[in-house]
Amino acid sequence: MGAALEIRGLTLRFGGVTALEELDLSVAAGAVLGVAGPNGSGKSSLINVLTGHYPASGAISLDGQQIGHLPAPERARLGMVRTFQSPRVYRRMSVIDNMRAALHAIRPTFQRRADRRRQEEWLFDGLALFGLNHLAEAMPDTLTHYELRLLELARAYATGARLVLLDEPTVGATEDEANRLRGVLVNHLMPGRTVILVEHRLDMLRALCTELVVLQAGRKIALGRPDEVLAQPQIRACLMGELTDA
Amino acid sequence: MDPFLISVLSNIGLFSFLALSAWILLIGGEISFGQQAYFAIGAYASGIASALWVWPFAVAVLWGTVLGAGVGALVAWPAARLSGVHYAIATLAFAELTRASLNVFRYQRDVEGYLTGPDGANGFRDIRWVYEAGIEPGPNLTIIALSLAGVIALIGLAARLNVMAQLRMVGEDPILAAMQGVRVLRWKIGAGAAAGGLAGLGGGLYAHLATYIEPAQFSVMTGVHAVAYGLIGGLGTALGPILGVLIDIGLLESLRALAAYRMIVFGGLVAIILILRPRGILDETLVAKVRSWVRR
Repeated sequence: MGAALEIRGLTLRFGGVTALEELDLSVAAGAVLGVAGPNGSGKSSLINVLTGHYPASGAISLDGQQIGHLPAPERARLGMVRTFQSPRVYRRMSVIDNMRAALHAIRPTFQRRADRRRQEEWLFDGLALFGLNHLAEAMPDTLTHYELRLLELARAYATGARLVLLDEPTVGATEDEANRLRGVLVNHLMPGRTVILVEHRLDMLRALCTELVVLQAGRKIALGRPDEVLAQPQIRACLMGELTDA
Repeated sequence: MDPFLISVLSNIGLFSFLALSAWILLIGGEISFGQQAYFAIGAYASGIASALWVWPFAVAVLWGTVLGAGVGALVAWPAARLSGVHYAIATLAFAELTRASLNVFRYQRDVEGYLTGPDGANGFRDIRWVYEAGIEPGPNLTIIALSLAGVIALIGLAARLNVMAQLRMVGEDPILAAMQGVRVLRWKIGAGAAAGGLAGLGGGLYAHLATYIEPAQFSVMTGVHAVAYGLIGGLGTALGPILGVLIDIGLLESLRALAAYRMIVFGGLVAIILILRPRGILDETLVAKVRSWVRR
């Protein structure tokens, strides 16, 4: 089951610029929270703060455990995984080595042969689930943008993380690819996990999220069920030009 | 075996330690032009231990290795916060500081009627273990080869335990690695310690083979060569930097027809390989392909 996330008074400033301002959020275990907002509203900053990449003030708790003071690697070890707006993989490692890399730090260094074999099977099964099994030995430079995106998602799946942070997983995808990515998310990555989904596509937010928060200039301006939030005229006005309604 | 061949092979073995030392940092994402400093520290420390303190050879070399690793970790701790050219300059500065310090370092003692020990720029004579123990160049080469084989076996074990893979993750994308639970700072300090220890081990063996060492031997050019060996031979496997040493010392320095033009040929070779194969001959892509073939 996914992990419950609580955020209280989260504030992030870069010099005089405020990226996040006194943000409060509660995400129930297994929920999918959509995050929308204009460019520069703090969506990616929220993911960067939650993963520990940016230090911020305020409190963050994961299943009741305070994690705001922990550096990024310790948060990952607690079962948090993220994807990036622009797919980020190790270019000098094959696809299957990228999958293995996702587990190196969170699995024991010394493993029995049987455990190692089971892990290999798990990784290859994960690749197959995301349609990448034929590319296991390929180097990332030979993959398309869509395949790299799938690799990021397969890697996140393989970690078994309880909290998944997705930073615009369909950006750069064609309509057809976006639909296929939606299917992959719904069928494989989201079940049994808590998810925070930063996304520009309204159809994705409506279809996938149990709740939607809208940010503007680092502040929460709406929170609720996606249909209700997106029905508000001022929210639509705020997002106009930023969201694509499919 | 021909004495010239023994001498060449011994040099290849000794510089392989230095090349592996720079290679570890290269795959950890940093270029160090200062690994000769740890080679010098290992050489002086183990030379002092065996010649002045009359420690057994193995303990003296181990002491040089441990000291190299300790200083490597101490330097890596602040340097790990640097990257790219800043890291390279920091390591270069440390190496020059070490060499300049050795130029004024005097620590001499009377050992059985001989005044011996480091004498500043005049160097450190009479590291006499090979004479006293009656070690011929052949057995000395065996000691070097066995030590190198041990190091390669350790790197192989580290690869099996995913240690090298995590270092590669840190080297290629420290942000992604941190997001995957890799404690990047610890890895950078650990890599600095391992690299320092390897160079220290090579330095200790070198001091006992050469019997005479001086600060000028540990110049910037030695450090530049150490980096170049990895870049030529390839960063995909520990055999890469050793291939680099083989090409430089085994081919260019040892073939008399080429020896006079060594630096010209070597410089040109580095340039050509960096253009054609930026990660060296045995790069990660080639190694991944070979592994894939072997698995089939």
